[in-house]
Amino acid sequence: MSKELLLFPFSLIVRPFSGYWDLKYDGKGNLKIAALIFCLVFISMIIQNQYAGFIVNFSNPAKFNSLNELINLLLPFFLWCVANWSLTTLMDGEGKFTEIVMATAYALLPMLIIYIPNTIISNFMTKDESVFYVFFNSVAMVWTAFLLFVGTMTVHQYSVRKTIVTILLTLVCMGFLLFLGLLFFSLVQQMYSFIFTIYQEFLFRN
Amino acid sequence: MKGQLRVVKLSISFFLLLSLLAATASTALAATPYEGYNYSFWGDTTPSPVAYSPDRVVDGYALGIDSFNQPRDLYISADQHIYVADTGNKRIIVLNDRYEFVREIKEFRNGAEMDTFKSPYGIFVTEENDKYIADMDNARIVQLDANDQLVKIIDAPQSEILVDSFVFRPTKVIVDKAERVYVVSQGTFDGIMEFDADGHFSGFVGANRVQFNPIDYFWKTIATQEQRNRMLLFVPTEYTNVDIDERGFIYTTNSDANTSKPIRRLNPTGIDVLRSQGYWNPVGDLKTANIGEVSGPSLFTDITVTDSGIYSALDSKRGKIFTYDWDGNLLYIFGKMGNQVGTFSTPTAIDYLGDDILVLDRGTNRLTVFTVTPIGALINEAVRLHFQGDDVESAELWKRVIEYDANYDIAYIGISKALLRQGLNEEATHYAELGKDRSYYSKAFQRHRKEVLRDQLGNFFTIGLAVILGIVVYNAMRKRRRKSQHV
Repeated sequence: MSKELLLFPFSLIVRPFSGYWDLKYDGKGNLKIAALIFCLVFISMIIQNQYAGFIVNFSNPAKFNSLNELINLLLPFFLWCVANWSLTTLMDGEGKFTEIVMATAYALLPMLIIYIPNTIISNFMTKDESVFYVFFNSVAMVWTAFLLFVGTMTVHQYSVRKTIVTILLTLVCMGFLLFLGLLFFSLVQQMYSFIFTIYQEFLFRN
Repeated sequence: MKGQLRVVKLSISFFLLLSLLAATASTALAATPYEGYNYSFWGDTTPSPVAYSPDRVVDGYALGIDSFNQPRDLYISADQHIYVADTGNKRIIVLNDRYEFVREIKEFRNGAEMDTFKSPYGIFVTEENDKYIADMDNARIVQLDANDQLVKIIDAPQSEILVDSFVFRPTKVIVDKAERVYVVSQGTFDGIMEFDADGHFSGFVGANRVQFNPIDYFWKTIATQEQRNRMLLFVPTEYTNVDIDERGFIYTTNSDANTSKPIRRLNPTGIDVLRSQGYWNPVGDLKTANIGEVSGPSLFTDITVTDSGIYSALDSKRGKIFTYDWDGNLLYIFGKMGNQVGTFSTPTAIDYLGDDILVLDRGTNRLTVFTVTPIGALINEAVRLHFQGDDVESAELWKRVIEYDANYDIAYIGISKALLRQGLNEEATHYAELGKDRSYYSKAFQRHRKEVLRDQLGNFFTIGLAVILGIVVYNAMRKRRRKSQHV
């Protein structure tokens, strides 16, 4: 992996418009790096959960489960990408699925670079100073949201208004996907239990 | 003959001693009929040693009088006499602190003739041993002096602020130091009725706000007028019981299922000033089932407060006693519904006799006495010392509490406070973290950080200066070497 590819995400988050352009048309994006960013963000979230200072840390260590944490990150990520792709193919979007995945993963980078120093600093904070912790965490969120917005706009070559509409529709679509998923699982479960009961009935008859 | 008698006497006393020993041994070993638990910072139940264990049961039979009949109230006077309002038998029973029958109050001279109670629901005894009895069905408060002579009768009040349909049904009564009388009247939603020292009605205190379920409200908004008329009205709930503390603040319990504040401490203007600095608000059980025979939040029927700000509330739904300290920390929980000694069928009233807690059961017509266990005594004493401002002494006791129960999180806070006062800031942060107290942690940490910075500032500057000097020297040397190479 070349040094340029590794450093590219950092230049992208500070210059998102040209960055995403390069990602799409100059082939500077890389799926492996996207996966790496995703994993690191996941790890930084766990670190924040476990090692943030006592004053700002309200998570119960007895109930912490890193797999749940992974689902909390992976499921929205995956849903976003699928929903966004499904919508934009119908709405004249120019982005490919891999581009959407890369754009979304690269947009998570601010979380990584803010969460970890923030976690370290939070161990030296008093209660009055904990507003800074909240502030920096919110900065990470807003930055990511902004990058997602620019990413969607550039990857699909949309206007601002169309991007906003697409993002809102994507969120709705995510809800639908979730609902369909739950419906599917509950139906499968019912079918399974139906077949299983018949099977049991056969066993008991003999 | 004489020798024989002596032998008999001796053997009897020996037997008694033996049985006494056996009794103490068995009570020490006997498990209580209920489980001790508490709620942690996370809202989870944590098992804990029981703080109070049932000691004895007092009923009419044990006292050598007729059995109680639906007794409704209990009051322990300043001179440690126990007053039981034996409602069904229309009398007041007085016991001393050894649970022996002293006398009963059945009638009193009212003018020329003798008067009796119809349904004495509530009793209050002042420090001068004046007795105030809420005689509900007679719609009056009777005040008797120390010799059971009638002082005055407060009848149903006449006032323009009362609605026409108002019926005076006094169930509970308390009296403050200025002899103002506060009365809870059944079916009154406007608050606690206040009477002045002469018995004139002076108004309501601390009306409950209307509380309703958002779901009920939604249905009500979409219902037709006809349907709406058939629905329950949203009315503020009544107070179920009252008690008064040293400073004249009124502790109340109410019967509202939706309220977040079932326990209130009313100041003289009727505003709730109950402190809730604990992990959770004083609401009784945090985790309750929503379905089943016993569902919903705790329902308090009585509350009693001690001099050191500790108050205990009696949950009639699950037969539990919740004890909180002045700050609203949940200290311990005990009691249960059942038929064993130490469990209840319809608990109605609670009061303190010294450190003992007495609970009156209307269903089984008996009084259960709970004595404090070693850990309960330590907790009580630690809270008392903290209330008096002696944090260091208190911390010593909290340390012993932790030996009994390492999950007793409040103890860590107590120790942290003492350490902070002693200036041991780093240790204080450690204990505050164990006790999950963020404000004390923050305070201790701020001081600790300041200390460290002050101590290390010199080293910090020295190292910084050394590094800068090193860089300068290194650069100078490199320059010189380069020069010599050039030449």
